[in-house]
Amino acid sequence: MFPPRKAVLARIPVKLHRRVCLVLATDAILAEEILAHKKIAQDFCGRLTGQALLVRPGRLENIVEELQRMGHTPQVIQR
Amino acid sequence: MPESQPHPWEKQVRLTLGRFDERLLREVAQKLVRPRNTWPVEDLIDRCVDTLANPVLIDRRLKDLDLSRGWLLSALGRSGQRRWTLGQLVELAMALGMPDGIAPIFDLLETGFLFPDIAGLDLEGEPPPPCKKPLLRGFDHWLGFAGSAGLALFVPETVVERARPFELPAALDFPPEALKENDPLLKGGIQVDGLEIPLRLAVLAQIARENPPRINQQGTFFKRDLERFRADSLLAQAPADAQCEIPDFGVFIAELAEKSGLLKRVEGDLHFTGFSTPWKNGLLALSTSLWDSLSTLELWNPAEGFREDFQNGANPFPMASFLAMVALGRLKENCWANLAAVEALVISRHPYWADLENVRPSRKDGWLRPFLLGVAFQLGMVETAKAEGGEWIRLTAMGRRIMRLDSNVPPGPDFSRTLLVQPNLEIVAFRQGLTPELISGLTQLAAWKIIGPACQLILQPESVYQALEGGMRHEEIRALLERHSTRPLPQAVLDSLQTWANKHERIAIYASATLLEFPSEKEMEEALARGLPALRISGRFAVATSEEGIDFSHYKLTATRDYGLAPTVCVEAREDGVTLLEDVASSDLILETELPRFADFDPGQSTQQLRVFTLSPESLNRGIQSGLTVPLLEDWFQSRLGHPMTSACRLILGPGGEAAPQVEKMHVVLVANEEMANGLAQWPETAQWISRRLGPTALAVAEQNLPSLREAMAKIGLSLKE
Repeated sequence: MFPPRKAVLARIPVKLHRRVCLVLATDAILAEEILAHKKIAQDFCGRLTGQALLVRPGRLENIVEELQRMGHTPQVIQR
Repeated sequence: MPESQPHPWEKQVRLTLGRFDERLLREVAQKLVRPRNTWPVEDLIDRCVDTLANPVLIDRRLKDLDLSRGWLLSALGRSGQRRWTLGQLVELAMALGMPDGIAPIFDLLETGFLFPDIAGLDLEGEPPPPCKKPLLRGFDHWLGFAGSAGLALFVPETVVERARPFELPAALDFPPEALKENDPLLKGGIQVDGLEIPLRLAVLAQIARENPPRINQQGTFFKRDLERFRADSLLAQAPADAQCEIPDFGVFIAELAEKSGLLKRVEGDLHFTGFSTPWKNGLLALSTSLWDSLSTLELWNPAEGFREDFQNGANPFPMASFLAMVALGRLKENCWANLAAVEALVISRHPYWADLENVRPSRKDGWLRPFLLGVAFQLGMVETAKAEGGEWIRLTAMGRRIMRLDSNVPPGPDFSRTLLVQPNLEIVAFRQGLTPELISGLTQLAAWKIIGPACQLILQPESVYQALEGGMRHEEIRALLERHSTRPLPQAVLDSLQTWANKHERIAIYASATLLEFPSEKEMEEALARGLPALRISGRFAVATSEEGIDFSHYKLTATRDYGLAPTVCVEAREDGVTLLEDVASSDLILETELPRFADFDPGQSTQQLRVFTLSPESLNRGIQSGLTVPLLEDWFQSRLGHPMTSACRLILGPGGEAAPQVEKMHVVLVANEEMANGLAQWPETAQWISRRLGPTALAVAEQNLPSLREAMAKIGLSLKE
C-alpha cells in the first residue's frame, strides 16, 4: 500500500504592500469623522476601505497628536 | 547541545586584546597564559580568554601576584560594576595602602587581570583582524589617550569572583573604641524596607514618560529640569523614615535612573524605555543593580548634591563612599561601627583628603552621613542605632548580600495582596507587600500620588491609555489589580477600565504594516483559513503588523510594493479613451483609493495582472461630487498615465466656457487638391465667403454665400459644379 498522498494546496496569488501606514477605525462613521477633520485631512492619501484610511508617508506623528487633541486614544501599533 | 552564549566580558576581552600591538599582546599572554610555544595571535587571544574563564588558572596567577594587588581586586568584588575610571582605581589603591596608586594598576594590566577600556575606541563597523590595526603599543602609551572622557578600565567578573576571598588590609580596620560588639543597647537598629529609592525611580519614570528631561551640551541637566527634580513633591520629598537628608534627592534619583539604565539618552533627551530585568527579579536584584551603579555617579555627591564640576571621573565621593561600605563589610555581623569613625577612617585613607587644608570646607567632613544614613540606608544596605558615642551603623543582611559578602538572605513574608482599589479609582498600596515588579506594573497603569508608609495611586484615563499603549492588554491590567487586591475590584473600577479599553480600541494606527492584497474575497478567505496572521480590513485586503509569521510557501507573490516610494505611471487608457487598465504588478496602494473615486471597476474584463476600470458620465460626476476638479484629474492623468487627459474624458466632463454646439445648413465645396483649397481659403476675394475649412480639400460655405463665391471663382476661371 502506498501512503496516502498529501493534498497539494494551490498557492494563493497575493500582492504585498510593505511599510504601509494606515489608520483603522472601528466603524465607517468614525473614519468619516477623522477624514473630515480639517487639520489632518491633508495627511491622508485616501480611503482604502470604509474604515481604513491611508496615511501620507511621514505624517503619522501629526495625525496621532491631532487625534489625541480631538479626545481619541489611538493605539499605535508598531512592528 | 547548543553552544552556550559567551559572557559579555569575553567579547570585550577579545576586542581589547585584538587592538593591542602584537608585542604587547605576547607580553600580557606570557604572564596570563604562559605559553610554551609561539602561537598565532588569534590562538593566543583564545587562550587568554580560556584562562580568564578557568578558576583554577586564575587562582594560580592570583597566588603569584603581590598581595596588595589581590586586595584591589577583592575590593572591586564588593560591587558588580566592572568598569571603573583610572582615577577611581588609583584612589582605591592608595586608600588600601599602596602609595604609588598607578603601579598596582599597571601590574594588573600586564598580568591580564585588568584591561583598558579601548575596545570601541575609534571603531566604526567591524573590528579589524587581531593586532592588524593596533591601537595600543604599551600601557604607558595608553595614558596619553586621556581625552575629555578620561581613561577607564574593565575587569572580567571571573577575576573579581576568584579574588573576592582575599583578606583586605588591616589599614581598613576601625580602632577598637569605634566598635561595639554584642552591645545590648544596640539590639534594635533601625532599618527600612529598601523601597524608597525604587519608588522615586518609578515616579521619575512617569515624569520622563510625560516630558523627557533634556541633557545640555555640557552633558548635565537643563536648568528647567533641575528645578523640576528639586521641586517635584514626590521626587524630592524626604523619605518617611529618613535618618538624614539626602541633598538634591530628586537630582540624585535622576542621575541614578540614567546610570542604572531606567532612562536612556536619545538625541539629547532622557527617555524612559521600560523597566529592566532587575525590576522583575525582586528587591535584592534591583538594589544590587542600583548599588553597582552608584560608583558611576558624576553629577551628584553626598556633600553638595548636584555639582557640575565633577564630571569625567574626577569626583572622589563615589570611591570614598564605596570605601566606607567596604570597611563596614569587614565588620563581624553583630558588630557596630561608630559613624564618625567610619568617616574619619575614609578621610585618613583616601588621597583626596590627604591635603586636608586645601579641601573646600564643605567637603572636609560630614559628607559621609548623607551617603550612609541617606542613600545606603534607604537602599536597605545599612541599619543604624543611637547609643553612647553617637550614631552607630552596620550592614544589614541584605547589605551584606548586595556587597557579595554573604549569599544567604532570609526570604521575606509573601504579602502579595497589598492593594486596596477603591470605587473612586484610587489605589492604596501598602508597603509590606510592594515589590519592584509590582511597583513597575502600577507605574505603567496609574499615577503615583503619595509615597509614604501607605502609598497612593490613581487610575486615570491617560495612565490606563499609556499602559495600553505600552503593550498591556485590558485583561492584564485587570488581572494585575485582582491578583494584588485585598478585596474584589469595585464594579465602578471594572467599568471604567472596560470603557477606557474600548475607547482605546476604536482607532488603531499601523505605523509600518504589511498589507496583503488578494485578487478577490475568495482568495483572502482561503488565506485566512490557512492561518494567515492578519486582520481582514475589506473583501480583498488584510493587514499584518509584520511579515514575521507569514508562511510564504502558501502564496504566489504577484508583486511587492514599498508604500514609501513615490507614485509611478501604472495605468493605460484604451483607444476609446474611457477604459483604463491598471497594471497590478506596478500599481501602488494609493491608486486603490484614487481610481474608484471616478471610475467603475469592471470585474468581467479584469484579470490577475490587469484590473479594468471604465469612465462614464456617472462615475466622473461622482468624482466631481466628492471634491475632484478638472485640474486635479489632469494632474492625475499626467502622473498615472504619463499623458494628458483623454479627449473622451474631457468631453464627458463638459465643454467648460466654450459655446454650445450649433446646427447650421452648409454647402460643402470639394476641390481637386489641397493646394487649391489653401488658395481659396487664403485669397481674400474667395476667403470672405468661406465659413470653415473642413479638411484638406473640403470647405464649408453658407447657403447665402454660395453665389458670391461662385462669382469670385469665375474671375479666375474656376467654376463650381453642382
